[in-house]
Amino acid sequence: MFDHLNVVATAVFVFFFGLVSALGFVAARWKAADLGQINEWGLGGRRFGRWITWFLLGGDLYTAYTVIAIPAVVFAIGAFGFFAVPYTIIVYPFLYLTLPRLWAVSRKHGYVTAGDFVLGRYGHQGLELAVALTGILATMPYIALQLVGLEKVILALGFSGQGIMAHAPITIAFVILALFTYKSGLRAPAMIAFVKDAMIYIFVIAAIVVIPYELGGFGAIFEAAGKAFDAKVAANSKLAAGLTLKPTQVGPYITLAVGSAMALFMYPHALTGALAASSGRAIRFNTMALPAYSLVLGLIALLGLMALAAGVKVETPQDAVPQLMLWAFPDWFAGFCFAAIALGALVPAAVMSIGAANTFTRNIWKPFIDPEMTPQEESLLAKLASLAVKIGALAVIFFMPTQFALDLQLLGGVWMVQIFPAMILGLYTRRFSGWALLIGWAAGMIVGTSLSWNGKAWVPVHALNWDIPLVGDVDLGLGFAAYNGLTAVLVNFLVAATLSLVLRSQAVDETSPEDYDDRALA
Amino acid sequence: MKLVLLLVPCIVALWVPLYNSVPPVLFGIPFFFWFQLVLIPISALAILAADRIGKD
Repeated sequence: MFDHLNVVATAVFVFFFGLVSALGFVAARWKAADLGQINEWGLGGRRFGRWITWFLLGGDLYTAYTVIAIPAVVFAIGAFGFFAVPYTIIVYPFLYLTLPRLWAVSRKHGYVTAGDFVLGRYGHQGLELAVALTGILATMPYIALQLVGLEKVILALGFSGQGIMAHAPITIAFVILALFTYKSGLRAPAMIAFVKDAMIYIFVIAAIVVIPYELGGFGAIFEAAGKAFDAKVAANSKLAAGLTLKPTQVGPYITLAVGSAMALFMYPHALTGALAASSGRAIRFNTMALPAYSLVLGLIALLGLMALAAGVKVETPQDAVPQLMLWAFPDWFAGFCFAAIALGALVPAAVMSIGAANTFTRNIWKPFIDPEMTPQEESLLAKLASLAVKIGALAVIFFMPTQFALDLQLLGGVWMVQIFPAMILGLYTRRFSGWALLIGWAAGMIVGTSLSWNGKAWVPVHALNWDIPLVGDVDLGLGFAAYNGLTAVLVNFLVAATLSLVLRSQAVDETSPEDYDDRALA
Repeated sequence: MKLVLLLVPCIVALWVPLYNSVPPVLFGIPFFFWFQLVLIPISALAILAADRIGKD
């Protein structure tokens, strides 16, 4: 298992990784407050100003998805992987409009989770339960993606093995994550986010300067990558790959961007970061400042093409970035980059499992099973729930075969986006009723899940046929493929809108229109 | 006006046929890639402009 271990890279990796983790624990103790209250423990007392929120959200949203999964797709099929760029472009104007409203109403009524808001707005416990379950379910594949990121880095350090030892890297990744979350709670990841983000920026700047220099400039990189794609397509004519999108990829490209953007702030971990802000102003500021991370995401995506141009050898596309680091840098700096990538997976994974665990205790266990819980029982249950979520993530890796690690996040998004109608429509209108939204949610979940299982594997994109039945088998050329999440949420919305005409809501709405204006609160 | 400023970058970003080509190449980078990268700061500036305009 240690035969091929890269000793220098491993030593540097362990040093930085250990140092930063230790820093997190110390800082958490130093900044300790009364953590008996959920508001303090879960949201840092809603005191985070614009810059802390920037680091926290940046560290939380830009994850192994950014540094491993997206470049892997770019490495394998080229332009298509770049859909993450339009995704991160369109998400911020949308958040600029909606997120301050959600922040304001949550501040006013003390909401901590999406389930809290839905219960307050629609007075419907079934919908609250649905929203909470979706958050937990969708978080598991997202954590799974982080585990894959950690695994790939550990693998690149040279850990290898046969038989049962073949699972050693993923087991190590899991144990590190479990220990980290269990010991630290939310404070350590928030503290570490600063250092982690700084390390990622160093890694990216070095990579984007040094590697093009080594490969003879961007022109040479794109030329070599283009030739490599041509060769791949020549070998397999069904493969859609290249430096631009093939006609069949345009539909998925657009719908993946839209669907991903709609799903992003439905996730418990993203919402946690946003609600912890000290003002609506801090949130608006971040919709202008967070695109700095999007730029980094775009540059990291290009690493996929650089790996292709460098001709690195990989077992799966997810190895592309780690192998490129080993190819381009001396071992000690590769070790540093690996530590940055590992922390970049660990911090969000910890926040995600805590977010899901909070949702479980607050919106499922307490209201439905044991309303009389003591705070001690609550925190113990949350810790156990966070462990259960991580085991779920491990199960996802073993039992949900996917082509790309990215698909894990996209499949989670198919579920997560189903709470979009209840959440976002709810910020503007009460015309939709709890029952209608719940039935719409169920329809969306069923449609999305069944579209995603093709009989052999889980796939996030599915062809839609728009051919008119009367015309028979004539292909009108109108069929195109779309992201299952977007298709399903449209069904969800149509069902909810139609049923809302019939099922009028009698339930109490505890919010009032002025609660949604953050400027009135200031 | 505010909504227009917020909407335009989104529409451009999703209007794939607009930028789905290799030329014009800039510093060796195909149009498809550099155009989307450049659009990121532009969209951030558009949000800033929308914010400066004030309410509605």
